[in-house]
Amino acid sequence: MRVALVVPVFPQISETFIASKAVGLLDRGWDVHVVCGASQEPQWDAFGPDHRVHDLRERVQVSPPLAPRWTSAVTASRQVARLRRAPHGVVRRYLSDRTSPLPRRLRNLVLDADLLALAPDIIHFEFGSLAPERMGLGTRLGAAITVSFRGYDLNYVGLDQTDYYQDVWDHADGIHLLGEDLWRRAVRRGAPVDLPHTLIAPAIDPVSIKATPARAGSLGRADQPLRVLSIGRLHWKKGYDYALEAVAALRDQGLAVEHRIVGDGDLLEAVAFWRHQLGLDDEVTLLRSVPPAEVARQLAWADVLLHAATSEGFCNAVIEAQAHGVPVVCSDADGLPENVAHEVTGLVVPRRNPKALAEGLARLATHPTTRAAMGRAGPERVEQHFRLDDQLDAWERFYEDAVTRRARV
Amino acid sequence: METFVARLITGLANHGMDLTIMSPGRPPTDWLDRHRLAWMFGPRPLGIRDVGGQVRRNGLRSAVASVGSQARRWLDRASSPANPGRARRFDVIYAPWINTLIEHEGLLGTGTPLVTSCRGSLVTIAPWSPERRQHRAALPRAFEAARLVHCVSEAIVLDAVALGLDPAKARVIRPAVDPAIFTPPPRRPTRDGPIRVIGVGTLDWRKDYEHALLALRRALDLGADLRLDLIGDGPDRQHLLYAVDDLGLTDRVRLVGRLSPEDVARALSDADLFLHTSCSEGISNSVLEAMATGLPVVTTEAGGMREAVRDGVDGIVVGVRDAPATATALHRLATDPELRARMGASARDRIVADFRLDHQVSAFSDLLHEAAGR
Repeated sequence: MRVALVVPVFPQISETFIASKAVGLLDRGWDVHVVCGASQEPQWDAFGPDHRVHDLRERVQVSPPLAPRWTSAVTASRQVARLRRAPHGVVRRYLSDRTSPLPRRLRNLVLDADLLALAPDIIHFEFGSLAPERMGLGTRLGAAITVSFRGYDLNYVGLDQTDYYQDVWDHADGIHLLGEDLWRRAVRRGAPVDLPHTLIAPAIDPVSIKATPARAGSLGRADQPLRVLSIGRLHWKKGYDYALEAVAALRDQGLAVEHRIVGDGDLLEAVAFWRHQLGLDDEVTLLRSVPPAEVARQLAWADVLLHAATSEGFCNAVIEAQAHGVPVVCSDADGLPENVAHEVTGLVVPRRNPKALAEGLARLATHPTTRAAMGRAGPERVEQHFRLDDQLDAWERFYEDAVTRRARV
Repeated sequence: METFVARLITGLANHGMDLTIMSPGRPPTDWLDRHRLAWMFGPRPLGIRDVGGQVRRNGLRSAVASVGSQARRWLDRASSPANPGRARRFDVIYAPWINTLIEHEGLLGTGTPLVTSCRGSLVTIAPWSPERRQHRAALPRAFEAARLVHCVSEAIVLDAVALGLDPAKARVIRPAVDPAIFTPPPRRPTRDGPIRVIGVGTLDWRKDYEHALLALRRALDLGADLRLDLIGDGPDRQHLLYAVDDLGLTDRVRLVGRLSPEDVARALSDADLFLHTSCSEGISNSVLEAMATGLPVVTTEAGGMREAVRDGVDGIVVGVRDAPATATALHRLATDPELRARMGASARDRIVADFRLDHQVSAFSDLLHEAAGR
């Protein structure tokens, strides 16, 4: 069975879950291809030479967007050349669909050339925001169309247009969401309750992870600062202002703390400013973007993972932390209460509340047995709920069901 | 061109100063003529991109970089207004943003007195960014090169001094508004329904509107009847749409978008209360305009805001990111029309007394004369 995964950029270190899924399905005999708008060498390199993502090299199609204008002639002619690989009749069928004007059809034909040439059985949009306007591909190609909703797509994309995802609700052969919370949001945004959907949490491969035992004793003295780690893009939804305020509150209580932030993004200047404004230049280090192996080293260093997001469909960082045996203090944004078991593998507190975050951190610093117990519970929970094998089983079922459903149409 | 710089330039010209503007693009001829302004070409600071395009391969890159920086230095020196080869000589050169002194080395060391301004983010935010280390390292040299440095607030003076400015060079001239353009409406409309709160500014992280929304949520929960209009656009629009939805404020908040200056003035006349939640600020022009319109202000103490808004007199000043205090302030003003009227009137008086455009222009004229030594 041939599956085309559609993503904006591939690969991306911040979206390792897509690479793991693609590699996993490939191992199970699926003919997986990735269609993306850009694919950059430094991003491939960031995974390190031994990562399985490199098995996908020959399976990535880059179809750059038709902008800026001056590149469109080059892009278009290459895309047209690709169309010659499309199965017989597909292009004609595509153009004879008279629901939109011809120029628009031609433009979309160029945009979709890679998908047409691939002629997959399943087209899977990895983010909901990629899907509107492209749901017609199902009929034109006779392929099953499935869509993933991962957070931002439901939380704020098109929030000011009530029918933004109507086309998806009407035509998808199945949608996938990362958790219950996102499904509730989808329903709130118009998805019919009987829409075929599946909940699959992204997983990690716990086999490769060795949990680090918790440091003994009470932490937070000047010679034994509490080691706090945050992982996530420097983006508004990660709530770094609240995280830094919590760290400042901790310091003001007289607890010594060392906070490292892994991640890069548009908000770098803001995060650096908040750090300075809160007088945390000595306590907080911005590590920017680091390779996965270094993330693992930082998790081994940390006593606690702090995640203050205000919007988070599903958070890989907290799952990874639990797998490494690092207790989590996080907000209750969206899917986080599903990701972290409150009072078992960490503490889940109200979002936008630095005081509550600080209290959580202080409690873990000064209660070594709680900290150790929560650390130990992490890998167990990940093993139970976020196993890669289970996830791949679920994906196989999801795609098979979607194809069956499409065949019935 | 930023309107406040344009206002300053025309103000100085009308004050009898002989001005030449140096910029990459020529301002409209009729504007130059009307204010008897001369113009000369000045290059944009050149980056490697301008000279060699984006070159990725290392060997080529360093060659292009070296040619690029040579060319830049040459162009810079040739185009400096203080270059003896150029027709005009000047008594003083003024760079409204300090990065001009960092990026145009041709301006430095010419002997012509330099004046520059510290207005906000270039001294309060950029120096702390890991990606702007060079900027921070270059600031002391720029301060050194300037004869006098204009700062928009006392707070900015402290920031600049921490970054290497000799305090003796600092001159504070606060921003100003024209109280004849921003005037209180004859009578604030009295009406039933929610109190109208207004915020004006770019939707970006500096304005920290998420804390405005948090405060609004809390004030509503305290029992105040409020609605909020945010005027402006920017990268945080989606962020705010989400926060409005997440905090259950969809029927209480409107993201109005950008408005023309006339429409902003109209919206200010129609509001009851101004809310400003910035975490970083020089002195906000929007707040000054609101005060001139006779609006009471709830503002954070970011930057020099306390130098404009007297806490408990013209409005209420709260801590940065302090949503509970902001909510209490909103609640207090929302439920007390007399307090709003008193603070609004006082805010207007404050502008007329201390933040007038004509005063600012003469202070600037004095500053430039002092720098020129005549």
